[in-house]
Amino acid sequence: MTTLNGCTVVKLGGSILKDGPSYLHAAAEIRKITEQAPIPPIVVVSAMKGVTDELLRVCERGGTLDAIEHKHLEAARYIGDAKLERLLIEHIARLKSIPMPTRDPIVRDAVLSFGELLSKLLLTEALRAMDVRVTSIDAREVIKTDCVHGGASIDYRATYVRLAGVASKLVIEGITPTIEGFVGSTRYGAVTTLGRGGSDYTATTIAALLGAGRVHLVTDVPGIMSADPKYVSSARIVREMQLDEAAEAAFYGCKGLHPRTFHPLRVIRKVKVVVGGWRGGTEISEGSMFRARGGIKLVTFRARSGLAHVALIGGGVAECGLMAKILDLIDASGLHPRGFYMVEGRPSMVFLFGEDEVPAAIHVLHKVVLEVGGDNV
Amino acid sequence: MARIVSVVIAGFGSVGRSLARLIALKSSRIEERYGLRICVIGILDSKGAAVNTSGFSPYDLLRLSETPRSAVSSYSPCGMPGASLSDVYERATPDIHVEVTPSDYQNGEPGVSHILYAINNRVNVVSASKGPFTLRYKEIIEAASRRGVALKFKATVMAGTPLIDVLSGLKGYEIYYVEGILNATTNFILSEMQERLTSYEDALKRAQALGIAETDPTMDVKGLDAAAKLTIISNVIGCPVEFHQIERDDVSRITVSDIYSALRAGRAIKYIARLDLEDRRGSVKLREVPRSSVLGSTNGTLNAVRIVSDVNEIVMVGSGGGGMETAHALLDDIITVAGENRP
Repeated sequence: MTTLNGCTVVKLGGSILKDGPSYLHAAAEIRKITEQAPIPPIVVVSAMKGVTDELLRVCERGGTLDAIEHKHLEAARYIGDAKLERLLIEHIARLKSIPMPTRDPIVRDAVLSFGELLSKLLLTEALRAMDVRVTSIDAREVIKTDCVHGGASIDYRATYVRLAGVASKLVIEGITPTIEGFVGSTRYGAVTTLGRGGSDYTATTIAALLGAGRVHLVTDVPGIMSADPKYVSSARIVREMQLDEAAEAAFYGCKGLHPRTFHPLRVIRKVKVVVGGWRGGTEISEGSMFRARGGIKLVTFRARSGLAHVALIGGGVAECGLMAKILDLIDASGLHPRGFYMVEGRPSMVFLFGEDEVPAAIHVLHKVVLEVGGDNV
Repeated sequence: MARIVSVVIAGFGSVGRSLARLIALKSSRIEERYGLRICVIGILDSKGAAVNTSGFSPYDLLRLSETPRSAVSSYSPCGMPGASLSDVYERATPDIHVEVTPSDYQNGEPGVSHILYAINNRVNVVSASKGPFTLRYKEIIEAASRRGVALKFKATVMAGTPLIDVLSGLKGYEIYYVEGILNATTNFILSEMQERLTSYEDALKRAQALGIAETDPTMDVKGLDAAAKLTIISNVIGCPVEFHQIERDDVSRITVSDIYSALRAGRAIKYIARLDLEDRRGSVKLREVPRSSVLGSTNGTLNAVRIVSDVNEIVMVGSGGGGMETAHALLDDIITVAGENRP
């Protein structure tokens, strides 16, 4: 199996790609990486901010694509390349020829894939404008998935066969490849999408399959937060997490983490992950060198069938002493969960609340366990 | 030390671009395995050309494959706006001419002119373009033979499955007939109609949305593409039929009711191209076949062919000619020609 140890897979989230200047800024940051690293990064690109939502809206309700066209062409003009504008116009014309609205999941995936495609073209040209040697790879040709449209799972073996030769060859030649996140295709060539946030999953898959040194999921927040700041204004950045803690947090709906982001790192190969801004953020690795502040890292939730599963995530949560302390703290807080559970070997303690109780539950749990509980938990 | 083989690519749509990328990405593997360095020295599209007499680097080829349609001549500093094939050859005559222009079934142009020009300049030819071999097969073969140049065209029919190679190899066989599903677009449409019990119009819209059918699907649904392939097959076997004499059905006349009646009888409606060698007749017809048969169970964008002879029946099922598959078939032919034409 291929290993590209000195390579970083960089995923650019849609939140940081909103207009021409932001593409050039991202390109400048990637150029720094190419100058400092022994081999170029592989860049996974999300759709421009708001575009996936807009495409979904048009799929569901119909309407024009003028806003999408305008956003992309304006960005192309800012980047300053007439050929880029022509390329975008060609692809947007193809998008416009697809009859919408549509309930067809296969057609919907084909429509949604244009968001990432157009964004990739913008970033590729922005990188060229920064004198970076760059070429684009078509995710539909190399990322192979099952046939579950709208939430496909990557077929790692089929993807490796197609990806390894292409990507390795490019980075060894000093060429930075760009590729769409979120998008793949079935073995018969039908376009699929990996579910919202799927670009993270694309990035970790590529890193695991190619043995990259690390994955950097670049976003507009400084890192994974100890709670959603919408509920907890005092939420702080989690500086370090273990891989299984991060996977558990994703499973329980931690904002900004696709549920399958960490699956390739658990089944293929472990690779260090950084989630946050360009200068760093939350570092996720197989094991921490030391136990970070508090065994509990964050609180998050996932709603299912009218119930909210509010999870405290952290290694060691299953230790009896710790569990007892947490239950005492909750008892003293006045919170009344409808139940709680833990699963052996998993770094979480989960409380059940009504969905309308979530804001209060998260606020209180964060306060009593992560803030006041402090070093004792 | 690798032997250098220079190539000009005429036509730079999705197949031409896929070929450029393939050569860029597989150059070291090809050099290692075959001792061959493929040097693309010119690329021609409908509005001009890009020429580099030393050969485009892999990075240049990747960049060229990302230019907008009909814009290779804007690739600085190698661009030649408005250039024709003769302008390209004046700057750099290749060892191999690769023809990948779109097929025209009225006159075979520009493919016919390009191929004959290459042959007259003693340049070997590899082609994915069907028009020239559909309409002027004998003339092209004879011209190549007189000039002593190689001519390969397996990318013209079922590029993703080596049908032409197989047919060319059946030298001692007495072939009775060849029949099959040779067009991916119409097979997809009929499969959709069958699987979803949907109308032809809805199935076509879906095919177009997924990029499987063209905006104007006439060449596919009126059987022109399949008939062209059948004509080429007939020439390869040595029993040529005239393209314009092949009977063709129109897929757009199929209704959901037809599909349903067939399904109830355990049958599928397929668009079958058939060449009968005894009668020397070709047809592209909508036929009911058992769903359990090879042709009846070949769905989506797959192609399938049965070759029935005095020896046995050979069945081939596989992909037709997507961009990458066709590019691989072209690359195979380039390597073969380069190997057969050592100085």
